[in-house]
Amino acid sequence: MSDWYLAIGIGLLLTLAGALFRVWRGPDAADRMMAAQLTGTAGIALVVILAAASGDWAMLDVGLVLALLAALAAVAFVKAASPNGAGDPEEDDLS
Amino acid sequence: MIASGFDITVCVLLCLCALAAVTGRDTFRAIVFFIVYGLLISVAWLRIDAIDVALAEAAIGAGLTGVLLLGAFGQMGSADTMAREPRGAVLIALVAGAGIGAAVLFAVQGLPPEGAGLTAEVLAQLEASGVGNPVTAVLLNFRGYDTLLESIVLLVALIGVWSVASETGWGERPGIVHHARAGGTLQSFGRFLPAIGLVIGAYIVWAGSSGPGGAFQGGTVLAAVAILTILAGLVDAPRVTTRWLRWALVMGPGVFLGVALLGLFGGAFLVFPQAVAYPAIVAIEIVLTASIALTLVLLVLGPPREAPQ
Amino acid sequence: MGGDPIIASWLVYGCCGAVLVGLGLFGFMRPTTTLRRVLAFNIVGSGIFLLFGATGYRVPSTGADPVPQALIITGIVVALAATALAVALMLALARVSAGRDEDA
Repeated sequence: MSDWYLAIGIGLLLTLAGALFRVWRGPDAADRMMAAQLTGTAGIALVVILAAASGDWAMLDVGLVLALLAALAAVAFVKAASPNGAGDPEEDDLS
Repeated sequence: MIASGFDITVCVLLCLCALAAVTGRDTFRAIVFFIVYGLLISVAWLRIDAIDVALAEAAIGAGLTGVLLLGAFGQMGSADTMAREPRGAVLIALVAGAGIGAAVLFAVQGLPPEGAGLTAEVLAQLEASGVGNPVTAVLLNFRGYDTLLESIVLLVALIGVWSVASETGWGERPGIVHHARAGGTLQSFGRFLPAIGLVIGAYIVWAGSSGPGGAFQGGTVLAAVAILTILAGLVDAPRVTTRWLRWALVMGPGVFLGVALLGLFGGAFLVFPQAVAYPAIVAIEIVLTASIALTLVLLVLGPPREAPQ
Repeated sequence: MGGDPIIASWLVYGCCGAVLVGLGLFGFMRPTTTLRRVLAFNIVGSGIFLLFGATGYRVPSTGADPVPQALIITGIVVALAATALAVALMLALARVSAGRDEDA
């Protein structure tokens, strides 16, 4: 049974490799960041698969942490894109 | 066979990410590859059964390193110029990297496959440590001095970061003062996520006494959500001269040191008698979590600087 | 399907750690920007951690050795502190250099 899970895991790793290709090619910074977020999703799925494969469900906590914090890189990216790194692109709508 | 296929695929992807992070001209691309690399490393840790390390890596890699590096990239912009290097520097780097990598590889493959390690010794003494998770037992009991010194190293690093503040910046808030559109996506996210993050962070600290988790992992999660509220402009970081902040920073190492000194009555420095080991470790973990979380937040935010007029 | 692994997990990840150390050193020494060097330094560090952790998993039946795990967790947090210090120094250097260019 564990081998079946790991086979699915290899499939997930291949989808992750597809996202890696997009990180490499870009062309925009936003494309790279979106692809990195996609690998985050694949990573959480991998953690769940590994927990099932080993039967050690404490591993799910790692997936929980990844799911909670994956979006933080996107927030930092948005911040880095705004002038002097302090603002929020949405503010431009108002001013 | 499938298991080996999985392991090899993970390692190939890891090496590709590392390669992409160290080559090429685009710094932003390198940082994004490094973020993905952190994710894959967590998966690798799970495959060698090191769940505690995977938790720490996931929390730090996903929550803090990305914010730190992307923030630095945003502030550096084009200021980060290349130093002038002698001709052939690439070649020297290539030879040194390949040579040392090959030497380490040779050493690894020559290791005896039945390495004894210390697992049996730790498990034999686990009963006496007061906690059920062997990693927590090593961190806070058997090798408690490592953790005590580490919490002090974190403080020293923070003093180092603060000491590069500009003359006008001292006494101000650390890092940039952030702002965001009221009620916008970023603010809503900054209000929504910390509620869940607090629960998960506290859960991981608590779980550490019996299963994977602990003060470092939980503290990192708490630090990450605290940084999010600051990035969303909901909370301003406290001024570096604030009295409660100073106390909170030294409280973790201070309580740890105090409990360690009390151990002198029981026999020796840092010795917890078995009867009080569990409450002592849990008390240290809770205080240490708060100090670690606060120190990490301040480390990532950077030195205090004057607010723009 | 499946059967015995062709190669033990610890050996795969140990060798991967060795390759990462080499790649990181190359990135650290090649002509590049300061931020990229900080990043490469982190890759060397995590390669060493992976190598160390993998050697603690040579006898899977007893589980992963908790002593390397505890040391690695300590190491990961210290590496983050070192990275934060490096970033702060880097930004301070950029600030000072910018000031000097204006004076000149």
